[in-house]
Amino acid sequence: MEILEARTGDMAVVHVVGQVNSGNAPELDERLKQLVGAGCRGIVIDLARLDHMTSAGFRCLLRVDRQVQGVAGKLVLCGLQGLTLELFEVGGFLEMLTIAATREEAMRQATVN
Amino acid sequence: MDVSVIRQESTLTVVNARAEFARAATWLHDFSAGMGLPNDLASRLLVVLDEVLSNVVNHALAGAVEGSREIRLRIRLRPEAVELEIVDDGPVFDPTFAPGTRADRQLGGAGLLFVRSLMDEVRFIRQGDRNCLTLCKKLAPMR
Repeated sequence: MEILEARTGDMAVVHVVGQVNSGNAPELDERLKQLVGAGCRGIVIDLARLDHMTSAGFRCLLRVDRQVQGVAGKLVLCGLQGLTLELFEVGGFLEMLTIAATREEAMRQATVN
Repeated sequence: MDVSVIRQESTLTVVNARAEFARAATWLHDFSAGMGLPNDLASRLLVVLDEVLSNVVNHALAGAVEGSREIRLRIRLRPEAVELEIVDDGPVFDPTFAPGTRADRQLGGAGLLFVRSLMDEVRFIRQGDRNCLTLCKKLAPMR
């Protein structure tokens, strides 16, 4: 797993590349929590280059989503494709998390006024 | 069992420690690459391996001292399908019987949903004092 992030003001765009599993999900969890702790209120997670994510990764996303909502922020995901999209569908996560069709749309939705 | 229809197989024994998951994933990845399995199938196998190992460590072997118990893994490539077998010596834990509906996904049921959805067959048997789970995914017909 590789985590690439770009911050502009209180907005962060995070690319998660490769695989998220029970071994590295805590690292993703930690990185995302650090962004919230550092004042990011709009967080976009781009999964276009993610190969797959196991349930440990989904639990991490749900936790961070709650944390971001707790500080009146917004977490938006984009770039769902292939097996990643299938897993979102199977687990019912499309309805539990905010998903955008494009990164631009995700950034617009994550902008907190 | 008719072993003549098994094209290739590999086994690995790990212990009940999270650090072992990466070793198991590498083993499975190497097998998939060596056998030329499609990337999508290799990824599906990695997802279900992570889910099943998590289940074994968190449920079947819950309470066991870390590193004290063995989990045996076997992957088999047959002409029509690939089979992943996971065997542990914990108390009876049948994941095909455990909750795995959307309603309890936040309680950890998503992993079982993934296993059932990504594989074509999930079989559990109790063999003596061991849990034996076999996951099967059919191969796409050769073109």
